[in-house]
Amino acid sequence: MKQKLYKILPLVQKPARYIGGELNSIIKIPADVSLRFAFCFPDKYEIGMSHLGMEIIYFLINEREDTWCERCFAPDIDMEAQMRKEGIPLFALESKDALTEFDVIGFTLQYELSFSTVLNMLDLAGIPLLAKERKDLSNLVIAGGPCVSNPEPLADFIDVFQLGDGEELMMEFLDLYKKYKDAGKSKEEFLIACTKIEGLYVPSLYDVSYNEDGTIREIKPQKGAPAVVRKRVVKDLASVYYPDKFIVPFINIVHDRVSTEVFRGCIRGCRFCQAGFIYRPIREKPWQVIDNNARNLIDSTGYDEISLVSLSTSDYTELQPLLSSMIDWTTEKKINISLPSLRVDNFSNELIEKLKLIRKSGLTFAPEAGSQRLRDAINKNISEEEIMNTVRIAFSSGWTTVKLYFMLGLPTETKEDVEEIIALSRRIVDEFYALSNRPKGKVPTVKISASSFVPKPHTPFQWEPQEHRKSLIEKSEYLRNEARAPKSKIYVSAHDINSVFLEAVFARGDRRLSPILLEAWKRGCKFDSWFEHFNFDIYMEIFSDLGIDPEWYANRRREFAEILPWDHLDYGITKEFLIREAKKAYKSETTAHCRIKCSACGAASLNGGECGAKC
Amino acid sequence: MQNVRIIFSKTDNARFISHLDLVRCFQRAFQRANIPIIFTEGFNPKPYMTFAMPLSLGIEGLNEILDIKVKNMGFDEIKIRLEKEMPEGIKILSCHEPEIKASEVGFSQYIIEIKQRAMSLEAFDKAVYELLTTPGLTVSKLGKQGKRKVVKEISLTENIQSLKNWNDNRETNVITMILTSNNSFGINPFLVLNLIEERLEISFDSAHIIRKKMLTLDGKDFYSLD
Repeated sequence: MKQKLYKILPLVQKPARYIGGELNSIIKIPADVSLRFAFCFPDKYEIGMSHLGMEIIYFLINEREDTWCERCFAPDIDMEAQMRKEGIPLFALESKDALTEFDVIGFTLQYELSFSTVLNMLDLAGIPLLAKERKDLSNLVIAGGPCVSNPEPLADFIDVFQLGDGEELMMEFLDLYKKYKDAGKSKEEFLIACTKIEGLYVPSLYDVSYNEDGTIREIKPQKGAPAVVRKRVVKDLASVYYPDKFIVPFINIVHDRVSTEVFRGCIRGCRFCQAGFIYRPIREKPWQVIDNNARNLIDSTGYDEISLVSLSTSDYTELQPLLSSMIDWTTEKKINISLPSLRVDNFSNELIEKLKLIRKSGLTFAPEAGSQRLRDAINKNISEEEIMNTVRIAFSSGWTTVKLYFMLGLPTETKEDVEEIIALSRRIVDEFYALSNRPKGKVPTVKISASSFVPKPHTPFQWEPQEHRKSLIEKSEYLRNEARAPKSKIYVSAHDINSVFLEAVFARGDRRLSPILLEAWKRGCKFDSWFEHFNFDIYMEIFSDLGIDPEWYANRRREFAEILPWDHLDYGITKEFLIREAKKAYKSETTAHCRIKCSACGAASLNGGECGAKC
Repeated sequence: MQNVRIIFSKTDNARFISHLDLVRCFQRAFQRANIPIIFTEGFNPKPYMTFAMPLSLGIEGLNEILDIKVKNMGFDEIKIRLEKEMPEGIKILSCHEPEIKASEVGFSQYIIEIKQRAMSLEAFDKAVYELLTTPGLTVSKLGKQGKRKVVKEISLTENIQSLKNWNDNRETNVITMILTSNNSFGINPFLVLNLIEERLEISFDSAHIIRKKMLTLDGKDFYSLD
């Protein structure tokens, strides 16, 4: 194996992605463990190694003496070609053993466009793709991550899905697996036993039937499986496991830094945002714990940057004491702090004074919509005054570049709403020139990033149609044209509309899309989230060949009464709450965030009635 | 402040760590080891680090040279701290005061082990020797002229300083060469191997390249453990 690898590694780009041996990676002796777990990320190394969840689960599982958890990523195109040519199966980085040697193969599903890569990885490993063709308990294929909130398009391929926080669930799952493996039980016996653990979903134990119009008639559990599977939450984030080290890759990865988690969940309830709902209820970590995590990670890795991660870091109630402490010791050690998710409405002078000590890079904010009306409809809950106030502080403090995230095709969006994106950007440019204390001799830059809205499960917009591609293209063309005006100082980057369409199909797809994925893999699809690898035409051919209308999934309005493919998966949010929110959106009415007023979303029930928002 | 020369080896899997990645790898190791390395002045301070001659990806190095500046710490202490922090495949062999400036590297000595089945070991030895000692031998190399990419013809005759080749009588041919490698110009041994494959019309099963050491412009060893 090693000799074969040495032969092909000189022939591929960035071979350090395939050698393992990075600092802090964990080597065990196979004979000393009774379980082997392959943590698979269905994308390239530099993407997968940037994923915080993988670091947590990797070190957590390896705390167990009876289990060795290794990593596996999708090899790049050139490496895959060499591996197939030399007959090298997909291997885990630590031991270089083929995935077929592993008891459990666990994928994390972070985005829908990685589904085809899951299949390609299984095939490259020589593991049958269809769950029903894997008869033994060994090579059990499981998956977790946000896409598991509707995993139905992968129902034919995955044996068990894990819903919600992995820390406790994974350990219980491995205990159960070990018990059944040691007792020589069958795969079927094990799968049935899984259904007794909250958070484990076995798709093969559910029969789905359909109405004549194509909608779902019934989702029927079999063999004692529960009618509804509830996601798991970790109740106490102060004591939850967090690694004191991260693996330090040799190559430059996308997020080349250590990260420490600040809180889980979100108080905001922006109606388009899936993460804002599926990670509820909000649970904060005490600042001392975070500070301590950060110190450990810096000491054990030698990184010069640490990121404070959450869905909206400026909502963290203990941000001031945390930053005060961190700025002291990070300045001394020449460490940068990065705060990736800030909101404009609580971007105080105090915070920016701290930020100035941190680093002078560009500032990025997400108004999401240009007009106040549409911001209200999506419950973004920020006013134009707050946006302008923030850019004013930023410009006065020396920043000249502001990056703004917008979405096109949001529910209720009109032509005027899109025009407001440009108008708002122009007002920001004007604001710069109107400031007497602006950076001298410099020009402002407003960068607009326009993505297209994808309706997601478990959100108030889960019933909404995605806007048709043609009109999305027109809207982004409009933005580009306006930005082209001389001296506009506005720059527009828009996302690929075709890939967003496919994302919308799979996001709310059902299990009738499994054959589409299988066929897509057969016809060479993989790395669909990479512009250079994505082949939209092949997908459209397959939909046509298999007689499935993708627009029925992406562009159709669902009735509130319709049974949705993920209705048997309970993320704590009640349907009544989502319907209330959807109806408010149609009236452009906002909902106050969880610390002002509880909206009775239902998520507190996941946590024994406790919610960290404490309004 | 003191100048410190670190001699290290980069073998096994570590040969696939690129030069840029190696720089980062050392930076982080200094940080973890709490070695008081001196940073450059300015907006984005970087530690002072000079690698005598970067090693191409895929080549093992037995006596690689890195110079750093340190506030004050004994050579032994630096070595002890640093060796604990290096990943698999990179070993710290020595820390000492630099005797010669790193910019005086003139040549690199390579040992290349080749496995091929197209020719007998003896015939291959002979053919390689004849090829590489051909008077006026050149190899084409893709280079840059400003921003344009151009193919340059490079003389091998002038840049191969010494050549020995033999075989182990079982399956491996070995070539030892000293090639020009200085601040402004260097011959990558992969170029020579490609030329051999092309001219002899064979393809190797494997070629394992090791840089044994670096030599000064007047041919003296920079540093060698043996």
